[in-house]
Amino acid sequence: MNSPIMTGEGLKKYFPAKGGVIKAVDEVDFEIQKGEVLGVVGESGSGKTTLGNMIMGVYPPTSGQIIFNGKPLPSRAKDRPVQMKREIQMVFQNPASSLNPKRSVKQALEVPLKVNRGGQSVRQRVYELLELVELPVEYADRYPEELGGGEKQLVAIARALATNPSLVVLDEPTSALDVSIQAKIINVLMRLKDKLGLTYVFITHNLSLMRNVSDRVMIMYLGKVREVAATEEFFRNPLHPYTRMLLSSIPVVTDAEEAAKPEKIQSMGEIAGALDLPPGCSFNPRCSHVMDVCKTVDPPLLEVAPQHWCDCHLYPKEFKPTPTA
Amino acid sequence: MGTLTHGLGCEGEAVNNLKSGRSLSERYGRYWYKFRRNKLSIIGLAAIIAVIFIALFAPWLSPYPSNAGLFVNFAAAGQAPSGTHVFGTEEIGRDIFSRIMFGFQYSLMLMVVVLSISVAPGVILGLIAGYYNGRGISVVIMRLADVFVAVPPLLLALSVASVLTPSAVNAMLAVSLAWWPWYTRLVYSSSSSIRNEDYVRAAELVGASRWHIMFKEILPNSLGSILTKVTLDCGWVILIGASLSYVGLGAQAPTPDLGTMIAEGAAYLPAQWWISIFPAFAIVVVILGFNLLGDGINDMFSSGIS
Amino acid sequence: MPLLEVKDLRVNYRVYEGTLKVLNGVNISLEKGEKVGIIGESACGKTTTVKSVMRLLASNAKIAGGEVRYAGEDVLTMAKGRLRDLRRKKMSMIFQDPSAALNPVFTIRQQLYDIIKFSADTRLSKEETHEGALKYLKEAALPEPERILDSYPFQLSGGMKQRVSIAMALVSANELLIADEPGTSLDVTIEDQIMRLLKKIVEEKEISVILITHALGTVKNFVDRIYVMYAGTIVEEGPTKEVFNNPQHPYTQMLIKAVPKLTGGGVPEGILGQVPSYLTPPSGCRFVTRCPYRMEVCDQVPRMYKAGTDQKAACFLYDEGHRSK
Repeated sequence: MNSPIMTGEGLKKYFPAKGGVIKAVDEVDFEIQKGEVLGVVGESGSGKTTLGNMIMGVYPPTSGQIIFNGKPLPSRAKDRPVQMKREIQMVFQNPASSLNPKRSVKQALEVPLKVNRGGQSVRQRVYELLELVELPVEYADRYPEELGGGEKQLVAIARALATNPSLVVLDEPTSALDVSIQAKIINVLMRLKDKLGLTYVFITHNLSLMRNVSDRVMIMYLGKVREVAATEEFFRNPLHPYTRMLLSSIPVVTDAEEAAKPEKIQSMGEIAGALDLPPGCSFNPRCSHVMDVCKTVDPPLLEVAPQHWCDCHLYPKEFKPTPTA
Repeated sequence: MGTLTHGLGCEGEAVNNLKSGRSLSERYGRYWYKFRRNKLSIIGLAAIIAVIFIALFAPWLSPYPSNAGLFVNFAAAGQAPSGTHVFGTEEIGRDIFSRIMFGFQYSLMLMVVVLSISVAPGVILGLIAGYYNGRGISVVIMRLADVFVAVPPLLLALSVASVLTPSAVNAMLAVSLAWWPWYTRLVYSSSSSIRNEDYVRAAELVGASRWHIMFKEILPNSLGSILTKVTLDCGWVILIGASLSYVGLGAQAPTPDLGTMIAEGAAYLPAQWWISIFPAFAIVVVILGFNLLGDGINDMFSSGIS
Repeated sequence: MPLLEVKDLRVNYRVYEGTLKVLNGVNISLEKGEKVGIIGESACGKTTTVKSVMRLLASNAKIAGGEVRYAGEDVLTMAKGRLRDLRRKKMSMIFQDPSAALNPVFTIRQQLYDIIKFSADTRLSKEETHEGALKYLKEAALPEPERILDSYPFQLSGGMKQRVSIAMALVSANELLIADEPGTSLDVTIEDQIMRLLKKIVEEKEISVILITHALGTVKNFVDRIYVMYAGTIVEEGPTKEVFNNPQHPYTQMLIKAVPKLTGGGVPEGILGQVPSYLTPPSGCRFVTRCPYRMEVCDQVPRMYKAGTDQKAACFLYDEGHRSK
């Protein structure tokens, strides 16, 4: 692989709460290669959104740091130089709240353009951005209430691209949309990635979508990374019992997909409360392969197959443990 | 596809598919549609238009314009309502109907002055407090507002008006002082929640200034609730102004003022009931009018199509 | 006689812009003990359909034609008292968002007791009510029922809340249960548990079910038969397996194709074009504006033609007279 555009080292985010701390993100390392789509997959409480927020500098990590293009990234957005802010942008989940209902499409797109003055006229650039996301230029004068959910999301994408970013965090960009519209948005995103050489961090709960979109998949559960692998390898050989449970639970439409699922691990139990995590591996109360060691020792994330990391005591059986980079 | 093009997606069963480039007049038409669905709002609007019209043209509309000022006609004093004096006359013979018409002038002026003094600072302080929610400056502003809110507005206005010399101007100042914190609190609560909307975060991510965020992103979304409150407050300000006048701390004679008129007539109750009752009724009309209008404006800005 | 029969149902909504002609002749029938699914994307009229069955339509909705028969009785015209009896004893509904369906200021005990008292014919003693509550909670597989009874909704997880709503619905749903996206707001592993539980309960108690959802995979392992809705019309109906494996109506075909597959293969373009406006819907087939097989005859309203092995599709492609083209 070539050089990473962003790496996270020992990232932790603890939120103080009544009766203890919530370990939203706990000791997470990650690497994003230039030009790839990294799928960050998890259910609610997994810490995937907190991770995205730390990349965006919404709040600083409790410890650890993020390196961007070889330089440490200031942990708060307001401490980041304008150039750095422009490089990292975000698309939010809910199309209804990501556009200001009182401002037209043109006004929404003008904000980043006026802040980051370029040589071009603003109007020209607004039209360019709309064409980029495959919307008609007449949409410049429309208000959010006149747009469908998918169209709003395309405008939000255009706004994120206005500063010419190199890395875009996509926080469940299509989960509020119908499948037929999701398909359109995903295709626009993929075309933009190739055209503009973007890197995506795609935060989602939808593994089926990641099968078709991401280059690598990173599974999170209760604040920790549980499994990371290239997409092909990940779906061919899912290792972590949680990953397998997740895969078995996914509702699918065709028989071929049903057959592609790993041995059925029926979902059981609920995600542990963030305040009282079980000792050892925090997945152990729901795990079908639970062993004694799981209840006392938290397993480290190890490279158990080439470029395939997993944090589970079942592994390695025959692999040599090597600490993650 | 023409008229069938309605966006890629749709949210909300049955009410979607209304999306298409709409002209300005259509956009306002929708506001008017929401407003007029409640008949009472129309009645309120009509009442307020009538009151404003009467106040503006009182010198030409009233049967005895001279009665507005210092005018004495003991010959006609204390007459019951009749064809010549529809609302009767008071203790020094002035026509109550005419004086009520002029009384609207003072009430409306009080309202305009008080609201123009208190709304703008109240809103701006609320915006700042909402934007910096959780920070020191927000706490200071909101605690200050709480102090003012803790004192009932009439009591605060009373104490201010009694420290200063009783006059119309001081009454307006006193009421304004009691009024701004309500706007601060209203705007604080809406702006601190709008602050967390994704579109505000998106604007921050691209480096928009705090003034842009406060005035261009947050304020327009609070306008509906501010406007509703302004309308509802119009009635209350007039009521407080009249109360001040009633206890002698507001407009001074011979200014025709509804509160003063009620106070003067109180001595002649119940025999000469018309002296107090008709001005009191006039106040009720104004307050009710503004309240109904306020409800209509609230409907106008509320979401939901049905 | 079918348990439920919806015949040529037409429902309009009055709004500022005019009249939205939403349901345009919907036909659905449900036998006793049968489980059917209504699938379709947002605003296709699926919720309006079931709300008509429960007589829960919004105030600006107007039934413009058709009838709803429950065990032969006309629901739309029956007296209020009779309707109340039906809702108390025969049918009930589970909603998408369990947090919205439970009142936040009362404990589960208060809410569940009330429902049990309402549905009983005679005055129940405290013990009888309590026993009933325990029975329903047990049926919904809730552990520690006493603790649940004393909890407020906010003290329960999303999955628990949905189990409680199921318990509440079971009190009245002796014959028919309408489930409106019951798992959509939950994590996939929890949704999987809820759907398995629901299926077990209704099969044991022989309750008929209408499941409405936009998530195609969810219905696949649950219902016997499927109705596919598009823009206020039923476009296809048939046995679940047949509809998924061998869809006949062009809309169903495109919809199933648009779902990202766990087996990969990329994301297709989705369905081009837009859902028509309910203000001015096409006079004939409502899918005509997006259909790749559009013919001249599509200006007319298609009836349900026999299609595939065991399905019916509202499409002229399956009319003998037009098949040659």
